[in-house]
Amino acid sequence: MGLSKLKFGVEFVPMNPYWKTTLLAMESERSGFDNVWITDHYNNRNVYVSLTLAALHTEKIKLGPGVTNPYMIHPVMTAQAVASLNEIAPGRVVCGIGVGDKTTLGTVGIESQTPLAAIRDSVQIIRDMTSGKGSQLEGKAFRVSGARFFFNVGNPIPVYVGAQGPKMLSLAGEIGDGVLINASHRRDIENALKFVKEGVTRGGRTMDKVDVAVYASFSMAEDPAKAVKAATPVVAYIAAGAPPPLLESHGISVQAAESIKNGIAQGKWKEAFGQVTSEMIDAFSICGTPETCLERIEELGKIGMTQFVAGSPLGPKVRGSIRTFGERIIPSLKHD
Amino acid sequence: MDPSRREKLSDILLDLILDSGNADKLTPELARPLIDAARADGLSNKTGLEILLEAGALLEPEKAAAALEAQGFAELASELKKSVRK
Repeated sequence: MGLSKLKFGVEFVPMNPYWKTTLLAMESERSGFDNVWITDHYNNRNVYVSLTLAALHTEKIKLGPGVTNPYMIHPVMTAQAVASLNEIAPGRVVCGIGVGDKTTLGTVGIESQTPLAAIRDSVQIIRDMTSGKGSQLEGKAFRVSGARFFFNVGNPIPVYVGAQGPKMLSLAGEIGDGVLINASHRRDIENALKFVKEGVTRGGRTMDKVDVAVYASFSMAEDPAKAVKAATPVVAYIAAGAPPPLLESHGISVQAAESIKNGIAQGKWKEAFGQVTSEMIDAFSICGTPETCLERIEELGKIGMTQFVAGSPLGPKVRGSIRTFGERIIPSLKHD
Repeated sequence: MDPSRREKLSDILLDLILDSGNADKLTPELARPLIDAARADGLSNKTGLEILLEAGALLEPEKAAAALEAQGFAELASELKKSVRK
């Protein structure tokens, strides 16, 4: 695939008030982004309220939860939400689903059990419900008998699977209309793609049927030090939650990551963030000047990424980053 | 005011409110017209600038006044400061 077909998405976290997310979604559309993904955590503002407002104030950008999870929200309700959103923005709705954040789910006593089965069943249920035929499923995680909407959904809604581990990446390749790969470094993406391809083969599909979206922590500024400063808190959380083999593969000390984790757990933010190293920034984010970011995105495009999703924090100036992305990164890559 | 100055001021004020740590202070009564003006590409016209100034005064009064002064709108900055003091 030539890079001219590369798509661009942006992630918003609705910890910001709705007006801010809406304005930034509008700015993203004007800047040439193809997709807006909004995260879904109970402790932020509601994802579908945020998406509805973004849908009402944009014309062509695609939008959807990125990602919701089947533990907090039953997949029939997710299907209902995206189908309803599709009435407001016909043909512009996508649905990202993943296992969710264990820590957040844990605060409300939810365990993410049988994650592969839960995602497999959820994708099936969401597809069946939004296709209009209704859902009849005796799955390993969900049982649905004769669920159906009393309204029509005008078009199919693509379902993306959020994935990081080998089995989930493979499942995403097998059943997803897209995969949202949670990683930033070329080596990790290359590795992830092997598992996605395995799943694609197992499902008897071809890679061109799967939108390979890289959902990366992104921070861009003319002054690279400012980009690093903005990325540091996000990278601290990623490093703290990264499995030891991943840390070691990037030459990052497991002890250092553990120390950051402890600092975060104790609310010692300054101490925790102060331990973030340049190796961690490089491994867990795409960060730097527009030129650096462009190079990193371009290399991901060349190895098989079909959508780049710029995730939090975007940069020290969010709107500025969106505009610069639209002025300097998108045209450079779409021009290829 | 010439259009390029309007646009520059509009840009500065919009960034100011989007980067503000006081975003929660913006009332729905002000947020709605702000979104509507942005949608209509009207943030740099008279009404749009009024909305942005009101939002700036609410979220970042000192920075908004400083931005006005820096852009050569000393009188407007002074009025904004007075209205904030009230």
